[in-house]
Amino acid sequence: MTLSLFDGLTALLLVILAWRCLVVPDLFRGIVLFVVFGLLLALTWARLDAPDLALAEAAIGAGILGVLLLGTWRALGSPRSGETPASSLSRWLQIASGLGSALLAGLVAWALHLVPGSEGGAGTLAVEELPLPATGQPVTAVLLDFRSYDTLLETAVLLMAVVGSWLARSSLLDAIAGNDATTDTPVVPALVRLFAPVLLVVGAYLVWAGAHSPGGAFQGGAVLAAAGVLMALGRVLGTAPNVGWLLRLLMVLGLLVFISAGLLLMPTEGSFMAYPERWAGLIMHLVEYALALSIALSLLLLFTGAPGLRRLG
Amino acid sequence: MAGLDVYALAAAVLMGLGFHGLVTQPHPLKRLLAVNVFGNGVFLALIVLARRLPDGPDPIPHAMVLTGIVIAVSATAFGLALVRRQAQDRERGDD
Amino acid sequence: MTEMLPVLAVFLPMLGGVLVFLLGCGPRNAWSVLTVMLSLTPSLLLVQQVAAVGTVEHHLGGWAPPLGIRLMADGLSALMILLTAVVGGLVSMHALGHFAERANAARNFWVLWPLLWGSLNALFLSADLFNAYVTLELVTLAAIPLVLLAGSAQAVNAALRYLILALFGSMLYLAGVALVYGLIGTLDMQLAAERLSGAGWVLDLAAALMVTGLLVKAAIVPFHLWLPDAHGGAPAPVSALLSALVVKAAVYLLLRLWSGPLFEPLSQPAAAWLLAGLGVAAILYGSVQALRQRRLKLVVAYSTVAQLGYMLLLFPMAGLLAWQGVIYHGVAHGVAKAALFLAAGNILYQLGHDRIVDMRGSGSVLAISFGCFALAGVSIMGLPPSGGFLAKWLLLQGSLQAGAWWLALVILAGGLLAAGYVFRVLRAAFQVPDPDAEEKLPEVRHIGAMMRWPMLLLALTAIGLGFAGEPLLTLLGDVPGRLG
Repeated sequence: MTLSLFDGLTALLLVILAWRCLVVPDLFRGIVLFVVFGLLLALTWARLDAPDLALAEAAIGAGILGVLLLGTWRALGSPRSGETPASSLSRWLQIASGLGSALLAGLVAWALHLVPGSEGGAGTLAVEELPLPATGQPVTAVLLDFRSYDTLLETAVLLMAVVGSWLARSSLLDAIAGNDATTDTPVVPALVRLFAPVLLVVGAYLVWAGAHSPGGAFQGGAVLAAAGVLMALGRVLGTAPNVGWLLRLLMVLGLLVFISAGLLLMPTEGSFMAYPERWAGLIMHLVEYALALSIALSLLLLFTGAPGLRRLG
Repeated sequence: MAGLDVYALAAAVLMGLGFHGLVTQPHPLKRLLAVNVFGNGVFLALIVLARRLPDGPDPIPHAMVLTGIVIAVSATAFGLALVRRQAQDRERGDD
Repeated sequence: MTEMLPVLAVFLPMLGGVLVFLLGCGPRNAWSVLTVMLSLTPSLLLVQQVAAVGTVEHHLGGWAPPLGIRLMADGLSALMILLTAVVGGLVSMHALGHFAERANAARNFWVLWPLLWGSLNALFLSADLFNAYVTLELVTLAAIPLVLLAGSAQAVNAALRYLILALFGSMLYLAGVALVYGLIGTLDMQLAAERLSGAGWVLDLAAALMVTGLLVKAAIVPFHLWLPDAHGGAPAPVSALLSALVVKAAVYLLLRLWSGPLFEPLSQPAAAWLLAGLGVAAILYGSVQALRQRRLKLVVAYSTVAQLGYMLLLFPMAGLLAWQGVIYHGVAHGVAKAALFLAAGNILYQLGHDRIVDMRGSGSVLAISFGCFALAGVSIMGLPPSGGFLAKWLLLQGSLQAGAWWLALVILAGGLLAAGYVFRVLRAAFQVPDPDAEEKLPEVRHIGAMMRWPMLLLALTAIGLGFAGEPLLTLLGDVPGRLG
């Protein structure tokens, strides 16, 4: 019974946090509440037997996204954007929307209550097939073997988001490219020297560990990106207006390795992304590391908002 | 199992809240947050369903949610870049 | 080789985009042209294979469904891939000319457009409910940055609005997929179609969520608000790609689901008529708005809002003729709309503006551009001989066969309204200038062959589709799934 009390409180708190983060007029508080919501969600994933997701949520969902949100809040800058305007909808429309949302929630809740769960379907097969592939961890097996095609395509989504963010940059920003978003306290560089190497090691470990325990390219990549964010904040890394070829190559490395491995082996293996049994483990590790590097760099570039990076000191 | 169904309820309420936020909030950043709240409700629903497999948690919804998180964060990051640009354009327009 | 073609049709274009990302467009656009070749070849070979041997399948990673993901090219997929290849190939040629003076924009275009091409092919080949979500997001996130190439504040606003709605739409879709997976434990569309029968109201809710999400993505009224700004404000080749292909991607998925896993919930009269009602609203509202616009590109953009509505008329008719009519309408509209946007873009480039009232007398100077506009307009109005005529003819027969005579009236009214907004533009352009103001013929900029020929070829294709019904409808084949 203690567990269900814990569950009840977590679920209630999730709902309250989400509600507050959407209705508080102050943008900054809304963002902070959203980040806390993300962290609680990570805890929830861990509770619901999804440690992979817990890591991903903490690193990507709450971590990187939180930093991006706060960065945007800073960039909005002017005082009037601190308070978001109240809804322009009429009172009746708001009530209608509230009733509609309640109806939606009620229907979905009832449906989720009725749905039996997927016994005998793909999930059962995935658990049964598991000893065969080189990856021992079920979620990694799904991501890099059974449904590796989805993983490959989602890497392309990340690339598009970065290119899109570059395009969204106003040409005006390039004129003030030296103006890096940093804090000027002396504490930060010291912290960077302390934590950045630790994060780099943790990130690399997570990628390696993905094969047999929770972790993987996305979680590891996000932690590597966090190290980069720290270095950018501590003025170890600065932004540059142009992308060098090396940076570009690293950004698409995961995509290139993934696609080439699939295409090169397709004639002999008969289908795309089927690997010979002897090499499967090695190829998947190679893909994971390449993906992690590309993901880390893409997330970092999304944070700095500039196309290039350079070493400052 | 009944104790765990509170998460199914929370998933449904998060979807409702996200939808309401999207309809009523005028600020684009708030609207992005609302869509993310809605999305997290969907993800929570998937993970709740994954636990109903008797032989241990179903890895397929886990993989789906991981993919979904990366896609949602990528799209949101791009959206934030657009929010920044919109604010700049507006400031320039005011000058 | 045959089974590899679907994979190549997805990844060769994407590799082309990555190539340009790394190396730029190359000397004299060599890499861009190579990318177009890389994209066209597997697409056309795949279409030829499907025409020759029927459905082509590929089990990715060697895993059969329900565990793995399946790529499938049937007649419908092949037709959409062919449309993408024809429109994409010709618009690519136009883009080489259009971006000739803007190196930076050109590079970004040639990164994003091949990625979009590969993503569209991936969506048309997807036979998996979750993979369809991923490919829909790919299409959206490749398409929205393209809107930004216009660089205007208006484009930024439209892009942000589009992004938020599109993200919400795909989450709604994913919510439906989650329920379906909970019901039957598979994501494969065919297996789902077999196992879902008699699933009750949970399936209805799942269908409602998925369909609403797709309607949001497809800019069906009342979710159309971002479309005119985005499509009307983007550079001409981008507008052509967005209107001809990208919005249709979501409608394609809707039709695919109707003919497969969601057949039962969407065949209930209430759902079918609700969807058709939205279609009717889109046709009438979009056409009336198109009649009221002052700028040429906005007329063309609102015309897209209207034309998308026809594709929703399928649901209450639900017969072979309606199926053929709706798909053929999608193809004919894609080609004609691409021609219209290229013509509008060329007119804007040549005159320096696209205000309709100030076009008086420019028709004689810009005869080719306005001529192409008129030819493509014939297909949009549905006059013979044109692809649009054939599509409307099939739709009319389908509606009479199903006893839905008032849908036939809507189809006819839509054609009349389309004639109204096309002729309004042409009348302004070909109006004889006042004799006393004869010296004020507008000064025009010259356009090169690269920008003229694609427009002309697309306009001629729009007409030619009126004679290509036989081979294309044979390629399309029967309604897949149960209706048969």
